[in-house]
Amino acid sequence: MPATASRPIPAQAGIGLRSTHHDEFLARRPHLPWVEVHSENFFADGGRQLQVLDAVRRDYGVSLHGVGLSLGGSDPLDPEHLRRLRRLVQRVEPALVSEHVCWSSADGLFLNDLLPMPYTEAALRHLAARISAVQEFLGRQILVENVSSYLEFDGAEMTEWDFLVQLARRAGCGILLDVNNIYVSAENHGFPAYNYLRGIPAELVGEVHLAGHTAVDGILIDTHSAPVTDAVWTLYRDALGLLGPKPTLIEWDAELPSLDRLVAEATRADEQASLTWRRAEGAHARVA
Amino acid sequence: MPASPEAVQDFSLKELQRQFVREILYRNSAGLRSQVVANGLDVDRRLAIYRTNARETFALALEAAFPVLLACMGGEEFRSLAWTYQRAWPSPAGNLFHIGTRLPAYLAEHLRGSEDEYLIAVARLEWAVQEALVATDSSSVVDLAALAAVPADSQGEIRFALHPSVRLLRTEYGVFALWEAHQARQPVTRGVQGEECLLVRRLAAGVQLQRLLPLDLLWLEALRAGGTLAESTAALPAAEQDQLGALLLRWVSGGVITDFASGGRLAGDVTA
Repeated sequence: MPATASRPIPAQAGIGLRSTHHDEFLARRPHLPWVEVHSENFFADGGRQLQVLDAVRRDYGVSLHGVGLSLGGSDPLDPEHLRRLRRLVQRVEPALVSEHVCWSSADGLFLNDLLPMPYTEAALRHLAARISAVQEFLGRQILVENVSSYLEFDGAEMTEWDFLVQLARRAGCGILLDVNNIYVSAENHGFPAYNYLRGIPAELVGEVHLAGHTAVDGILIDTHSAPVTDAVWTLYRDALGLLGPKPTLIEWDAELPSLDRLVAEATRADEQASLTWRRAEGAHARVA
Repeated sequence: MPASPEAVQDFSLKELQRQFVREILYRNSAGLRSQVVANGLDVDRRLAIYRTNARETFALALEAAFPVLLACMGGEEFRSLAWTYQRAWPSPAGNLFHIGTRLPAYLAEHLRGSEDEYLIAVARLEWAVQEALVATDSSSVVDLAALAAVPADSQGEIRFALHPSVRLLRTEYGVFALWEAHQARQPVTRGVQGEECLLVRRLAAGVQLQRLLPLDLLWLEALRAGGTLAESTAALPAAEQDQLGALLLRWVSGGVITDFASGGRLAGDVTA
């Protein structure tokens, strides 16, 4: 069992590390400050996956990103899932732990998808209570991520961003702001993405996600199977202008490119951040 | 466990989610459509995106866990199986690992007596491989000096422990050859009827599959069931009980037996 916490995560870009790249990653040790892994892929009692993560955490900041807790679900929280998550958190001592503002099961039947919440006061109360319970169980704060959605439920009592902010304030959690998901949902539902960004207080955001999406018959699908689009890069620069520097992750889960391609995408995110700061400094200088 | 936050649960949220899941899996939710905002796109198209996602995620996870079965069946037939299986036994957890648990039994229910019956054995083997991959680590080895020091009159009470990743199978079809062919990236053929005894375990280099003699399987199964040395010996045919020494040597030296308990305590278990 590792004896020290994993390295801290700076306000720079990292990559999602997937099993396809494990061996190459350990052999080449790319120049990156941090990686993120899906928590559930390391719920095993033993074996190679955990050994890889033990090795990675010695040299890189690690973020554990869950996809299966069904925080917004109406089934009871799965005690076995929570126990395995806590065991992993204790083993890895990650700099960040995150999950999603979504649900994925009903009556014990899981769809293993990130399903949208109705943006109501009742749903907000329910979700905030469950996030608080999870944080208490884990003994630490978590971040919760906005998801891409392809439908909205009738009877919404607030915007998605108001829901997210109130959730963070009530549960005392942070926000993992997925800029691609904002873009996808904004396009699919017809709201201005910039309004979403403006509605998120910078101090609540602990991490930013970037990913690729795919257009299918006039609707955008969050496939994580392509490079970040130009429109999302633009929105990312807007986000950094409003939020300030944040740890940023390149997510790519399907049709995985080479490790070099992933690292290059992270480098591009850092370059976009530098560009944003230079412009901001220039604007400040002109004002002064 | 966290204190139960379910006390604040809202019934309408529960009903909405219940109807959503029914609609995705079974197209059966009378009230859901009225709860979805169309906003310029047909509600059924919106729901179809989630149905496609749920099917795709499930099928991809199943393909990853059962690659030999996939090779035997072909992609199209496997995808069809994945969807009928998902509707019969939807994922029981947020961790996708668990979706394969019931597949061997599901195939047994549907393929027993058919020309594809061998696929049941393929699925059983591949699920054993999956279990071996995630089993607890153990670097324990039998302390031979301590084993030799057990008094003769207590030896019958010794209980041996197998490596946590060890899985034992008796199949009705030969599937070892299919596994080997797939590992070598060769085309797989149909499984041939006939009993096969197999041991699956995880080594540092990966999963190892090994054919066993029926006698070895019988004895190891008796040990796995928690039997004492005397009980595991009694499980062997009388004419073959003189093979005990060879069995013990083979499986201790092979690292399959990793520990023993004498007087109710595993020798290598310092925390017990």
